[in-house]
Amino acid sequence: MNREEFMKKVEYLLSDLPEEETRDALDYYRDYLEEAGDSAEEAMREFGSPERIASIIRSDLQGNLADGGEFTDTGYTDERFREPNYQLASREQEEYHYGNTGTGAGQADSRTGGYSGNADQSGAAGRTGNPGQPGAAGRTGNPGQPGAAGHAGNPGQPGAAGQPGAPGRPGSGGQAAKVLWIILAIIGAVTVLPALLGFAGGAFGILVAIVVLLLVLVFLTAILTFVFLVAGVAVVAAGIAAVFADPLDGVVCIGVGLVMLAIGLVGVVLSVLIYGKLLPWLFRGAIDGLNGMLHRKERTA
Amino acid sequence: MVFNTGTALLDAIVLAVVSKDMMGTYGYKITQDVRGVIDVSESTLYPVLRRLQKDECLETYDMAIDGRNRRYYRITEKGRVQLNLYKSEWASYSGKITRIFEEARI
Repeated sequence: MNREEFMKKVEYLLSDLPEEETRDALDYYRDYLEEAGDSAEEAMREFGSPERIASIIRSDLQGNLADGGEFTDTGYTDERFREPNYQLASREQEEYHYGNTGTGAGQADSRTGGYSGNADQSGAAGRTGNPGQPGAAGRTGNPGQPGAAGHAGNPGQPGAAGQPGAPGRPGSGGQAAKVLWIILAIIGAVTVLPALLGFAGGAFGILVAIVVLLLVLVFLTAILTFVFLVAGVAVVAAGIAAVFADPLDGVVCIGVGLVMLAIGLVGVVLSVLIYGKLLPWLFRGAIDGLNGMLHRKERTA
Repeated sequence: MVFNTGTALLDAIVLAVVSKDMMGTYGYKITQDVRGVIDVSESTLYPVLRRLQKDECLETYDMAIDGRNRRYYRITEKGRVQLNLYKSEWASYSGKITRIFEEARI
C-alpha cells in the first residue's frame, strides 16, 4: 500500500463525517507522509493501519481523545488504539458487518459450492491466522473443514464451484474478502452439513432395512427347510400308515409328504448356498468396504 | 525510557520544540524533533498538536512550499506563558528528583 492508497482508505473510512471537520486531520497525515519522503514506508508502518488512523481522527473530532489517552515510556498510547486490541475490535466489527450481507449469498450457494468453498477456505484461514489474532473466526471455521473436505471427496478442485459466492464480495479489500469467505465457509458448513447428515441417515436406514431383510430371508429359509423336512417325513409316515386303511388317501398323503420333502431338500440346498457362500461373501464385502472407507479417510485427512 | 511521559510533559516538550522556530515549524519536523528526545510513535503528535491548538497555545498558518501547502505551527503568547510554567515546574520537580538520587547510597 503506498501513501496515496493509505490516505484514500483513511478518507473513505471517515467519509461519514463532514468533510470540513476531517480535512485538517487528513491534510496533516497526508502532509506527514509526503514530508517523510523515503521514510514514508516506515511512517505508515508506525501508523499501523488506515483503520487505526481513522479511529484516532474520529475520536479526536468527537472530543473523547483527551480522556482515553495515556503517555507511557513508549510515548502516547491509548488502549483503544493499541494495535493488537484495535485490530481485534475492527475485525469483529467487519465480521459482524459482512456476516449480515454474506448470509444470503451463503445460503444461495449450491451444495457443492458450499463445500468447495470450505475446502478452499481451510487453507486461506490457516494462512491468515496469526497468534495475535482473535482466532474466533479461525477456530470456529476450522472444525468444520476436515469433515467437509472429506465429504467433498475431491479437495483438489475447489474454487470453480465456490465462485457463486463471489458476487457478494465487497471490492474494498483483501481483509474484508477473507472475513467474508470465512463467514461463507461457516454458513456453508452449517447449512450443508445437516443436509448431508440427513442423506447419510437415509442411506443408513436403507442399509439397515436391507440387512434386516437379508437376515429374515436367511433365517426363514433355514426354518422353512427344517419345517418342510420334518413335516414331509411325518406326512410320508402318516401316508404309509394310512395306505392300509384307505389306499387312495394314503397314496395322496405319501405324495404330499414327498413334495414337502422335496421342498425341504431344495431348502437345504438354498441354506448351504446362503450360509456357505452368500454370507461369507457379504461379510467380506462389508469389511472390504469399511477398509476402503477408512483408508480413503486417512488419505484425505 | 523506563519513566512514563505524562500528558503535561509531552505538551511541554512539544511547546518547547515549536518555540525554537520563530517562524514556526511543521508536523513532520516536530515529530522528528520530539522523537529525538522521547520515544513517541509517528502517529502520536496530531492529537497533541490539535489539543494545544484548541487551548490556543499554538496557532497555525499555511505556506506554499514546492507547489503545495504546508501547515506551520507557531507558539502563541498563551503558549509561551504555559511553556514558562512547565519549565519552572520541571526545574523544581527534576531538581528534587536529582537531589534524592544524589543522596541515595548505592
